[in-house]
Amino acid sequence: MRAWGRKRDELERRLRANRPEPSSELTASITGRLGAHRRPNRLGLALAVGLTTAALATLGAFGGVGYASSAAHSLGHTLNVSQHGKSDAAKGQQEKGKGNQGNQGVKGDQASSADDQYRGKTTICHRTHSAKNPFVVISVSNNALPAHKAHGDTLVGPGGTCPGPPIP
Amino acid sequence: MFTRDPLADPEPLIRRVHAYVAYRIGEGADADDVTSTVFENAVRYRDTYDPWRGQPLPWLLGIARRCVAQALVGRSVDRTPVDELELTTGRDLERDAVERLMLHAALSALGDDDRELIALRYGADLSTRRIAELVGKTPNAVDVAIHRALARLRAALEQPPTERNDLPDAAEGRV
Repeated sequence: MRAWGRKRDELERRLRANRPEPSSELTASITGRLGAHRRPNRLGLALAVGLTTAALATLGAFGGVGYASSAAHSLGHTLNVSQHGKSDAAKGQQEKGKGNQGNQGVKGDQASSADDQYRGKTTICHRTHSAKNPFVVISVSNNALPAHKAHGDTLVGPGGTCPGPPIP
Repeated sequence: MFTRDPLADPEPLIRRVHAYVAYRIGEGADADDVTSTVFENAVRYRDTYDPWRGQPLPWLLGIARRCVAQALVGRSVDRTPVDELELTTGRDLERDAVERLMLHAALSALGDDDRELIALRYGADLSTRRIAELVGKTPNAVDVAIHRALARLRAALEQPPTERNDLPDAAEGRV
């Protein structure tokens, strides 16, 4: 029985080992013909379209489009500002001998992307009525300036000192 | 809509279909022609392939079986004993080449059903379950049939080539 099994295994091995192989010409000719009739990968295309739609829908649902647009806008603004800064800095280098005016101009023009956050706000010295720390520096909305003025707050003085000049 | 292309990776399929065809009708130009025809038909009927019903290979072998049947009908008149000629010239070849020729000669002496099963099992390398699906039998019946086919093949291999054409199975198997 075991001998029969061995014989069977041997014959199976021979059948597998002697399996006829196609010539390379035959393979190339069939592959070439199939290539000419290749079907576009509809599944891949459908998957790509589906995933893109799903991603856009998800972004839209969570306000991601607005967020991305705002981020892009900020990036553009930063790049723009840094470009200005560079050209102004170059100008400043040229005018170095003429005094510090050029550099001050650069400083005034150099706005960071964080400036957007403080647009419409004013930095003031807020009176705390504390003996130890009578003022704290805070940024408040321009609309709130009259109320702060009535409270006794002032603008920030030169060098960030408090109290500064009165709120106009 | 999302039909997968059954011929997206053709090379392994070509190898296995060709091995099936060559075990079925013998190596050579005929096997190459039938293999080409199988793939031509596959391109034509590619849209009928349903990936939910199985892998591309059994689908292709379904096409191949029909092509082989047509090729065998066309051969009924001029079935020349090419295997014998190759066997006599094969004496000068190396041992593995002789072994290969003897194997093919013995295969050609088998009946149609035996040869079909051996071609599907050892040529196309299909599992018993897949063969059962293709030929419409139970896996158990296929296993038994393959076992018997191997026994007959071994008997054919052990007989000298001159006696091979007198085998009852050989006469029965040829169309």
